Amino acid sequence: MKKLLIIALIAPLFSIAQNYAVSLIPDSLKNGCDAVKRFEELHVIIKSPSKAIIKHKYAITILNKDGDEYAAYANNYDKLIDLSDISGALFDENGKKLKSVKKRDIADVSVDDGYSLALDGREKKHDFYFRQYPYTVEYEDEQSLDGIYFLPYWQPVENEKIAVQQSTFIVETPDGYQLRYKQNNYNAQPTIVNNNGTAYTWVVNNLKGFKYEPLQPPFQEITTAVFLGASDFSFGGYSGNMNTWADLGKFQQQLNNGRDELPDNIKQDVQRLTASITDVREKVRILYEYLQSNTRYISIQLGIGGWQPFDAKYVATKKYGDCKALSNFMVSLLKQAGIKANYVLINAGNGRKGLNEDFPAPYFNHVIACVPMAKDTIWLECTSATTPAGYMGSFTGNRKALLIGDDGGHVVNTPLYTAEDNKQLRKTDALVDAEGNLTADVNTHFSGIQQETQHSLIHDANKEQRDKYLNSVLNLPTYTIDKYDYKEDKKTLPTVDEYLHVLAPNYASVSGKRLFIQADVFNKSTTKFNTDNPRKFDLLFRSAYKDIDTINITIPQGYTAENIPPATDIKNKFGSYSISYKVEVNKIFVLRVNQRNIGRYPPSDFAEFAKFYEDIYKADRSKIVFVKKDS
Amino acid sequence: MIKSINPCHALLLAVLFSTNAFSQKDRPDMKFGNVKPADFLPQAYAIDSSASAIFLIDQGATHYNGNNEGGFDVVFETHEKIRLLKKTSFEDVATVKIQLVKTNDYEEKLDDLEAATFNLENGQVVKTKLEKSSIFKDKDGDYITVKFTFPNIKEGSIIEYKYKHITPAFWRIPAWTFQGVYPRLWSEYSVEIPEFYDFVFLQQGYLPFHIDSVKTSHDNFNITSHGSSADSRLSTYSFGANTVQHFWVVKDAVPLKDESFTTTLQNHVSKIEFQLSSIRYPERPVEPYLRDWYKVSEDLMKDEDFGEVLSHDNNWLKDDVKKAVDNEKDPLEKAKKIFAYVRDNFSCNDYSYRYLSQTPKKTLQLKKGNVVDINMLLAAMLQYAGFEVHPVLLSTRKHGKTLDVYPIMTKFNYMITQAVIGDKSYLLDAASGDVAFGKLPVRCYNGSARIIEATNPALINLSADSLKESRITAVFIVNDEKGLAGSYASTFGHAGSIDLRDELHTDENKKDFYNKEKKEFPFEVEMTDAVVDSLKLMDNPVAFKYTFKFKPEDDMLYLNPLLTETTKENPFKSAERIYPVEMPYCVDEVYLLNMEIPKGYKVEEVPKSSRVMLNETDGMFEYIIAASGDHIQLRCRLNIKKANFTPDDYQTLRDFYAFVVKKEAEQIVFKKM
Repeated sequence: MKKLLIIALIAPLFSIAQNYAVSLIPDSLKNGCDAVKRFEELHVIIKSPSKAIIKHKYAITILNKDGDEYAAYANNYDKLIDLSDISGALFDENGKKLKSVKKRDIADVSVDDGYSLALDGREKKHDFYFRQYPYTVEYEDEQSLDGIYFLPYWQPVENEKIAVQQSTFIVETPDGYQLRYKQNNYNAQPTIVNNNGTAYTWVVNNLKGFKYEPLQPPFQEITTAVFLGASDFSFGGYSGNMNTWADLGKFQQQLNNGRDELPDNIKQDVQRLTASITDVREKVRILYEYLQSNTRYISIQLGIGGWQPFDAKYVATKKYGDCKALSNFMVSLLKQAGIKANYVLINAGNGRKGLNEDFPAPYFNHVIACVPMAKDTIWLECTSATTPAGYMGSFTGNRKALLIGDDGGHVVNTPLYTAEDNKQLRKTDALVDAEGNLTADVNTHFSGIQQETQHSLIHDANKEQRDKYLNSVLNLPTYTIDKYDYKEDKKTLPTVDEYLHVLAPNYASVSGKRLFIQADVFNKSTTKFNTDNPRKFDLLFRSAYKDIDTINITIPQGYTAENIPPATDIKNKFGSYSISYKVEVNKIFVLRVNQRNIGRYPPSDFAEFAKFYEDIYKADRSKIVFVKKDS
Repeated sequence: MIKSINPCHALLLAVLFSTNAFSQKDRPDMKFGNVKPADFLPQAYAIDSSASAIFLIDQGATHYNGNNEGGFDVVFETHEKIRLLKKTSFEDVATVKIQLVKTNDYEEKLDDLEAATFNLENGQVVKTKLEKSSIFKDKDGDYITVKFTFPNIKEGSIIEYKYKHITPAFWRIPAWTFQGVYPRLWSEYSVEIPEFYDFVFLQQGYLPFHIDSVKTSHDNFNITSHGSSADSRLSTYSFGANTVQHFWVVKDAVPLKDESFTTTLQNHVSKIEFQLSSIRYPERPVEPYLRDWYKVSEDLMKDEDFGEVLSHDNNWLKDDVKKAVDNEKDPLEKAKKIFAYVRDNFSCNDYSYRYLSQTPKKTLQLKKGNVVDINMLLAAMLQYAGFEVHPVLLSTRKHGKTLDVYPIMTKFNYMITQAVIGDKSYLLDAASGDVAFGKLPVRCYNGSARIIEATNPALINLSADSLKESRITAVFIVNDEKGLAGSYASTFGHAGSIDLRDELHTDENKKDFYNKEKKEFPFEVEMTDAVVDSLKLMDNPVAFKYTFKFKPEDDMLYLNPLLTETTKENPFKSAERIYPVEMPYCVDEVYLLNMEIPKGYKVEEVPKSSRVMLNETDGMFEYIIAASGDHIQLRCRLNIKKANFTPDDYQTLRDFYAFVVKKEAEQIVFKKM
């Protein structure tokens, strides 16, 4: 222990004269990697709840063209974060310094997140654009935080195909300040030194790079990472504590306080719309649809406004707002109607994880609203103009979130969607002519997460985009969809009925006296897994679904089946798959059922999993071969 | 009818059509805020019943004003009135961004910005004005972006805005595009030019003008100028001058769809652009502004941001040239070594530029630069080594067409180097890392290029029709003790080689590439000895080779003889096309198969041989197959002899590819004996 401590303390001294010769990197780190982080020190100095300094210095060796993106430097600043003291240098393969960063070469640009109308975030950037591999860049900067609501995290392996030779994370706190941290994949405790304050040190050496594996768990779970949580903090003129979720919620409550006042005309609207309704669910639906048809999503993030909602009056006059403003407006509308609703902080995004219940910290990127009821809860996505009341789906479903109550924060679960919820039931009636051209009527019933694509086709796409999408989405070489129709049912578990009329020239190949046809026309699995390398990570299946296809195909008269593929029927822990074929005179009947369960499976299951997909891939592509009867 | 680019002199037009044109009966009322309840009636518009927004008015006007800097401002006024029909259009049209440039000595201004949303509530039109506090400004270097979003919008709203954009650049009249992403019922542009400026008009597109008129008029101008010293007074000149007023209207402009094999829609969209050609100030001789290529070339070669470096002895290149040449004596080999030195040691960070971004010395020192920096340095090094060199300007395919006649510099965005070695000349591009000596990347084949040489600024043909992409693939399959064993070898053409060099720069990428190929097989194979040759030898074509094994077991064996090389999709998906097909090159692909009939099987059926021509001489597809003795041989060739096709040829081309796809899907049937 003592030895480790010494190394940790003297490492920063050595860093002044690092030797970046590429020959010093062990081959085991270079293997399969695009870049190797040679050295890193991330140093967080918490001075007080309102002040922290972050010093970051790192050097990274770029091994090939794919690694170039890591050679570029960029860091943010805004009204609450100051960025200064940027320096850097470029080294050749032998570690010889070629140049240094010049101040005038550092670009200072405004951040455009691609969707916000106004942001105060800016970014400083630099790039040597050196392209003789291997080469090394070294950068150093300093940020000063005005308030420690957000603290940086340490994740030495930033991405796949990057190895790390050495990286150190040091956090200093003032005397008596309670720091919380959460470690992932770090098999020791930090070195802690108490000397007029406390210094925590984490070190890693020689972390090998890895390659992305399909269905791997979230990145932060599979690599070494340390997250920090403040206790007392201040931020944008407010102060709070986040030792518990309850406390963190109290802080948000403070930011929201007094922002729910509605102008009179809106109050009258609420009265007019809900006075005669007794059912609470119905009232919620009506007010939610009022929000949806009268407002739209526009993102404006300025200063503390990035975390504090615009008040309800603002939304009432402009008729727009971001997730915070719209959720706050929704809660205010419901309050006006006498319904208790809450503002909920969440980490949104398809496949993202919710909050870590055991580690209170503000890792959120979105806000929703909810109405707690006696037996269940009505969830409301306030930035969508089209989602049915109560539906969360893949964007915010199946995760933990923080409900902001009068008494502070509460951890809650958003709805989980099962295979029975996420269904695709498809009936295909097709006709193949003598040339092999196929004409099909395809009727499909989608529900839950499986209807999301169709939902956005109905609402988010214009006709041209819809035509373009429909005419490219089917896994067929050449086809046109000349007619289509959608009907949706806006229930808490929404459904969409789709009708497609599909023309696929030469779908069946007519070759001499034979006709070849893949009878599973519209639902062929396109996934195969590469099993050349041993699987490292767990397999994570986050979303369950069930597809049932019934297919009837009529082919020209005068053929007899020469080859009918065998039926396949597989059941395992991942789900099930079955397909069976039947031919009667000139008619083909196919039944295909494919179900996947939510689950997490160890790497040792990968071979079976890959085989499962391999079998499905093959079975979906089986061809029925017909041969012309001798006449 | 297709109108080709149709430039004509302003003055000429003025003489031919001096009619009064502005009092058109069907012109909508252009007054701002003139919104009536009836305007909200249509639920859909005949022009496109599914459109999510319709531009009711799309209006632009440009005129000249005297300014306080002793010259003229160009004042561009725009006015848009849009009916929002579906939410999907909100993001595109209800948020407006206007970009201005501001430097120490050049400042563009925004003036008279007005915007409002109109809704119909209880039969009344309700106006919500854009508040000043909801206008955001974002500064980025010399650029200022003014942004706002319309308040209180919903499906059915009408939004309207107008502003003036004032530019102190008398030579720049903004271009006007009559056709956008949403249908436009009325798109008009008027331009009033004082008589002392002559402009060339460049017009393109497929939409007819509803109005195309010119009239002469008269205007008064006030120009104020500062004196030469601080104490001298401001002096103001007032004078009258004749002006020429142009007015163009396109009605019912439907959007142009992006199709496959299009260089850029910018080549096809209906628009009009302007280029100042000469200045005729009163009592001064006519001053040509748009010069000819001789003059432009002369100036460019004196310009320190372009070719000036080539007029020096450049001794600072001595060490690098010496290092690059490495005692080579043969002139061609020497040039090749210098080329490889620049290509392999310098990185390009901008492939769309027409001037140097830094001095060539700086480029040499930093080892990076834009395409002009790098190819100009190449030119300087070759010149230093004793070769005759000339810069060559062109426009890449994505950047759009150039005009052969007019030296309009904004139409160019790329420079390559011409080197004369012995009695031959070579075109070189050292900025594109994966390209061989004397070859150019596909993006350069965009019609023609211009040699920048004062005495002979000649055109070089770089038509895509002149670029041939040949590929030969040969597959042999024989019986062995375990089943069938095959070998595959494919030699790629110029473009295919560049793409693979770019894609396969790490071993990981190669592995992925091999796996992808393996997946392409219609049945399970074991793949071994996969290798890609000549990735680093730029002068050789890239070749991909591997061997494979498979074992037939079923009673019937169905085998597509093209294996992984079938054309699965017809690239021409749309039923119709209104603008030309612009393929990147001509294609000549040959596939040869020679296979033994699998042991224990006999041939039950083979596809028929066939050959089809494309327009008799434009191309050919042949599929010649023969089973003889215990062998099957296939020769399949796809040959497209030109790259550019007119819309008239579209249906033929589409049918031709449909045949290719169909034929290449056919199978050989073997039956167990």
